[in-house]
Amino acid sequence: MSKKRDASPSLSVQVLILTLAAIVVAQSMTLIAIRFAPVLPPPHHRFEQVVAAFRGQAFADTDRRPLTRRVAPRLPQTFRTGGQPEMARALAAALGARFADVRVVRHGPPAMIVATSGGTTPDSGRQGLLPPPGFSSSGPPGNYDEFAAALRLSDGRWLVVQPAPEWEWLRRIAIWIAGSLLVMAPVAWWLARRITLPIRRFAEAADALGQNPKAPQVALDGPAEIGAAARAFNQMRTRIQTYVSDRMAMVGAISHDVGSPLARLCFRIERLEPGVRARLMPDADQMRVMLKGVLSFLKDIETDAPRIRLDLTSLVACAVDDRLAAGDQVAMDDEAPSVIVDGDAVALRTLVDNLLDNAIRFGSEARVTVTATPDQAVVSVTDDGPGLPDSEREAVFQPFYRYADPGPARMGLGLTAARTVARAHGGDVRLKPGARGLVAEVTLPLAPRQGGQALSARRSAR
Amino acid sequence: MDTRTVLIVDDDAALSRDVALYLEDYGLNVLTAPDGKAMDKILAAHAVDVIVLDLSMPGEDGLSICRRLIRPNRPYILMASVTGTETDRIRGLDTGADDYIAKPFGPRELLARVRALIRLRDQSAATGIRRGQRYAFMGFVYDPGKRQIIAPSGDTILLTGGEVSLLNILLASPGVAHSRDDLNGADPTGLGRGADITVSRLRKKLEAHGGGDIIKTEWGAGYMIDGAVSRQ
Repeated sequence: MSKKRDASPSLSVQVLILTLAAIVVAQSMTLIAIRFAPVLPPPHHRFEQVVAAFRGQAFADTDRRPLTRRVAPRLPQTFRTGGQPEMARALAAALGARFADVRVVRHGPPAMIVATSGGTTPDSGRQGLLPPPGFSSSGPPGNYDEFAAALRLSDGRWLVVQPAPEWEWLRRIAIWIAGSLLVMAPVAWWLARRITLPIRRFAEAADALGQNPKAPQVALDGPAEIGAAARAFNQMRTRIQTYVSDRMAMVGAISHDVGSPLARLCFRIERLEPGVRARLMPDADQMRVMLKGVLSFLKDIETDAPRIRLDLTSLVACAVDDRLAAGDQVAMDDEAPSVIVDGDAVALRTLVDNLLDNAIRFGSEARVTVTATPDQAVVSVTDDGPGLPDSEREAVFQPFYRYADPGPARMGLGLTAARTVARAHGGDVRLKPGARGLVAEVTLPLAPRQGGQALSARRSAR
Repeated sequence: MDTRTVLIVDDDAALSRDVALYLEDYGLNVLTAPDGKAMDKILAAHAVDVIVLDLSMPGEDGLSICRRLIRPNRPYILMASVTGTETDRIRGLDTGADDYIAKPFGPRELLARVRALIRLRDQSAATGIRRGQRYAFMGFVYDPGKRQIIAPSGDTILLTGGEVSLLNILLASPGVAHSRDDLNGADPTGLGRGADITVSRLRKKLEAHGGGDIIKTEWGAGYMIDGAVSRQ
């Protein structure tokens, strides 16, 4: 195991940096917005307009923040501070009300508005409530858009007149946030993918190992956490492999040593008189087939034969042909398209043979089809046997597992070997319920198309 | 049919003896040798049709024996290995073995394989198509030993026994038409479901790889391959 020191910082540091950077960027953008956003012009309301609003008369008002009129049961909080007695007196006089029944207040606008519209003075004529002639406004310099005036009605309630609330800045903030999200989302997505890439690679490697025990070791680069996980994973993998190979080696050694005497026994039994032979041969033969099954399974899963571009249909046809020659009932569609895969011919032949073997053993006949999807070759072997309960459909792939096997004892390695071969080719074997029996479906990736051959494969795949 | 001779080369003398007794029961003349040296002596003195060769033996092993045995008209070699693997099968065939059998083999299995090799030897003698030789025609390369054709695109097409027999006959005499009866009769291993079906399947396989017109039908005469066939 290569313990190379990884260059990338640990995940925690990466996430920390990303978070801090995000805060800095967000704050900077806000400051930029504050500094460069255009000044919000305050609305102008003349004293006469306010008077008209109180009287309920029609008057020409500004488009932005027009004066609103409402009746409040009690004097609103806003009148607690910022009282403008001079203006209240003027207003009372204009409305013909008692001074005690009239309140006028002025408030500084929100800090942000002050900041964005700084530099305005009351003398610039941009203040909200322009006093009647003869009055001078008091209070600190600034905008006085946020004025409110109230008149006590005869029933003790208050009629309040003030400019409509300022929504423009809210709108600006919403646009700014949405814009920032649009701009930042791709960057954030890219960074998030980058940070989690080693995790995904690790998951893929772990998954590949689950499917193919001979998959290469998980790479140890990436952040420190991933490195540690990968090391632990690789150690576990090595232990499992050692365990499996030890067990297999033991079974193999036994099979190997028993093989020779058993073969001799078979030849001797074959020469005995027919009555005795008929009683001894089936058992001896069965043991021999089981041993051979173990030995070839052991070797199959160790095989790393070179891959060739192979007409899978011709391979299946050969397997079917050999079955027919042996007297089995196997049907294959003559019109099956020519399907090309990159594969180890001998291993794939074992795969198909094992599936045919099962189909014939559990049913009376097998139907074989070869088809192609845009990226996969599909070989289906359908039998007319009793099928499998759902719960058994994965279990039967385990080594040495057998379910309701009617024939002579087997080792239960056929499907295991078939799946091992399929997965080593980047495909899989699955069992599905068929119309009558069971369907064993093999999927294998199609060989990449090349030149003129691709045309013929596509044409015949149609 | 005159008596055929089988030579068993295996360091397990007890097994050789049992196998010999069994095969003799079926009318074969059987000789045994425990190693390569003994085998050489026997080959020098006897005409042998088939050698059953153990892959793993102390001293010179089966693969090395197989390699040095390559020569015209040598006996057909059936490689046997106790590690019963397909990889060994490939390796064995690549080094010139004609077939492979996994140990522990059963008596009938062995007998069937030996007989099949004797038949192949007869067919080879009749047609001149030999295993180990490759035949090129119209961009396709036929390897009778591996029972496969490499298409011009490089794709490998595997052949059934019947298709191999058919090709052997047709390639042995390009330009000569063989009648259906000829094909059915001349082929000792049998063309399975008849010459017509075998021809149509082989045609279909070749057509999928751009060789649709390789096997021609001569009206009233039969099937033929019309084109140059070269040995490689």
